[in-house]
Amino acid sequence: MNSANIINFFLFIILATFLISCGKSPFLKTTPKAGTNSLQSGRETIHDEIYLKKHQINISSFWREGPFIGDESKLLIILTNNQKVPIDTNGELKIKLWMPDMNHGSYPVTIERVGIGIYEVKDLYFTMEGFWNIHFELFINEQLVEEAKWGITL
Amino acid sequence: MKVILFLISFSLMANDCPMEFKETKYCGDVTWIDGPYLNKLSHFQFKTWIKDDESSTTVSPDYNVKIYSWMIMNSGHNHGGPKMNAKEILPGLFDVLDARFHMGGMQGFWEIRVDLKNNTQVISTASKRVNFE
Repeated sequence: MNSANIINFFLFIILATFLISCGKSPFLKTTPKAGTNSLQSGRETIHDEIYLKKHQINISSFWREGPFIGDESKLLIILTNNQKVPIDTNGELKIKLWMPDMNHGSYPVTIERVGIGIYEVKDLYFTMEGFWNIHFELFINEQLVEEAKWGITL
Repeated sequence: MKVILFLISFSLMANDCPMEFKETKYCGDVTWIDGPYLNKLSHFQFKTWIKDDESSTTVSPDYNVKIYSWMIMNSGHNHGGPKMNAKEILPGLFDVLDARFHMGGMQGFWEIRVDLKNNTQVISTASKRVNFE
């Protein structure tokens, strides 16, 4: 084998490696849950952080499951102060889904505290396609004192 | 008198098949075990039997069964509800532990709908209104 053949051989190996590895990794494939109409078009439209200005609370969110239509979606939210330190609220945080175009909500959302400033949000049911607002409501002494919302289109 | 007898017999016939799958030989019905409730979990069972069977013995239909909720709004707008999971605990008897209903400002009513399907094709659908106390 002369040097030209050796170079050609290595070029072939390099080219073959690129061609084989150019596709999407099957390990990165997102498989929708069976039996659901999974739509994730709204994911990128959601800001992953909102701010309760009066109480200086940042709310960061991470989709644990979903967002789906019909099936349950789940969020993990983390409340932090301006120093980015996780904090609990003085009051009670409530979350509700609302569809402003249709003027109706959805099934009550469940919020479970899993650590200081960390909450798991379950029972999020987006029951139809369209624009939804996710309302974050802070209650103190059962009074709504501040609210922020995200919009999501499914 | 004849009219009354006719109406009674018609009523009895109708009750024999509360949820008729017209395109098939099957009837169905929903029995509430716990509920129905708004804003919390409800539990019901759905059973199927063959239309002409006077004993209404439950039989598993020769189709895939999809059970779901459906909101009929007074505005004319309809849509589905939170997904529920059905488990066939005996042939023809389906248990649904996680039915979720809510009104959330909606004007209208909920139905339990059941599709009998061949793979993805819906062969027949029957429904029953959900009445909340």
